[in-house]
Amino acid sequence: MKNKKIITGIVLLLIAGCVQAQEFKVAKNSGRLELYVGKVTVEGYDGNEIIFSSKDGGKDRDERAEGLRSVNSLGLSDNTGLGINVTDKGNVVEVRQLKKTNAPNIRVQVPKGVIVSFTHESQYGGEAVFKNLTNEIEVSAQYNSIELDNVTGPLTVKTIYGHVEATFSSTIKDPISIVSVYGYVDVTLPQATKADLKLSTSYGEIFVAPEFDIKIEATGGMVHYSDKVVGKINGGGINIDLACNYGKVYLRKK
Amino acid sequence: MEKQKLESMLIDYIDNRLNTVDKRVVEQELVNNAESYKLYEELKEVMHLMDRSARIEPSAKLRAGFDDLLKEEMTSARQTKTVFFQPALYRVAAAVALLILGGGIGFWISHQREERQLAERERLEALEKQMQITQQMMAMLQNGQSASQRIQGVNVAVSMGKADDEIVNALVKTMNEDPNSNVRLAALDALSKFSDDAAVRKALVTSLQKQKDPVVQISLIQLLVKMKEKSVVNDLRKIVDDEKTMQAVKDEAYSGILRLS
Repeated sequence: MKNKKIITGIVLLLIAGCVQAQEFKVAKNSGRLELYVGKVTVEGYDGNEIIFSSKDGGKDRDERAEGLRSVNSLGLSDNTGLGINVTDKGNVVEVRQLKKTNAPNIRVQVPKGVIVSFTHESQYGGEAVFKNLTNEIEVSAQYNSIELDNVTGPLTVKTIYGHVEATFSSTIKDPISIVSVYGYVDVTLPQATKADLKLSTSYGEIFVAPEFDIKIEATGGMVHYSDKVVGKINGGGINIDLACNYGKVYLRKK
Repeated sequence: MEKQKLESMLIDYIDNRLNTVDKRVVEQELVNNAESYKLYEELKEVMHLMDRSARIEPSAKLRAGFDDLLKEEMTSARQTKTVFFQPALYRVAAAVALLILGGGIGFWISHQREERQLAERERLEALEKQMQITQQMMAMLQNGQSASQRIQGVNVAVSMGKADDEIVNALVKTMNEDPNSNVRLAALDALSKFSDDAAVRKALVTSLQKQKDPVVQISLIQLLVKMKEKSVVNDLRKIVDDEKTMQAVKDEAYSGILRLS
């Protein structure tokens, strides 16, 4: 009888601990992390685990759902206590949100060797934020705006309606490709960046910091004028491709 | 018995080198023939003298004289060495020069041959490098893990300047099938550089129906309009009529139809 009480106590303590910490960890320092969620904040850190935590702090708790588990149309259930399902498929860790509209506010800490991929199609979502990452980042979004802060690339970002803001750290890795149809693309580079630039907008405009002296690429002694700016800064180097259709392109110096 | 044969037999007899039969024949001859005996006597005398003269020792004075001469010769020889050191240096220099010259000629000959081989090897190496780059590019384009690696592959393809069938096919496949829009866009951009090529042109035209991503659709429509490719007008109409098409793509298709017809 006494033993039973102790065990129940320990279990209760453990559950309480879990609820308080609101963390879910996957031991992984390579492969791909595929995020199929509406909004997320991804941060780089030194470690060997992908750590998921909630930024909501449980304010979204549904008393009526007490004792039930949430499931989604794929038949996945919340196995993290954070409103997301995390499935480890060996080389790939898939993360899916359970609610269709109200995306949970998830923070993910990622070790260095993991490729981070963010994919979201529905209009119910928010911003995807990527901070202090030396990882490769892939973003394929429809409505989300993308914020990248202190990243190195490689980077492939596409969003249709959202805008993209990116600030790069001093070392940049090839290639950088950012595309938005309706949103703007605003990129900040260190002044010394050696790059082959390709800036284009169909119906927008291109603004570049005066510190960047773009040597326009001439083919056969002729400069080709179009809505595309193709040229080198600081002698050329890494490929940076920024494109908009209706939005504007901004290139700033750090 | 003739004289010559007798003489040789007599010499042998005196030296005691005859067998018993020949010995008796010679003795018989000596007894019977006084002339032969006289010859025998003479020969014996000559040979005796010869034996004696062979054993004459050089006199002590002669020896001393010889030693002096030898000594003198030796010292003078040593003197020659020191006196004529300089020419020895010249000789060494000459030898070295000859060696260098010989080496030089040898080198020149082999160099001529090497140059030809080098040119051949360079050609092969360039070819091999080209193949390696192509292989590397293919591997990059097929990297399922990393979209940026695939974009790098496209960049490598562009940097090669000219496109053979293998490269064009790989780029077309990437443009139509890659799961990442940025990669498809990069492949489209790469192919636009080779749009004068009939096969590339055809691939671009057929790709229009396959593309579903608005980003790629818009870029492709813009390129086809720039290429004045009138055959796509019907495809553009279909895009416009499709309810699922995004407004931005519809606008681009409208504009394309206006400019092409």
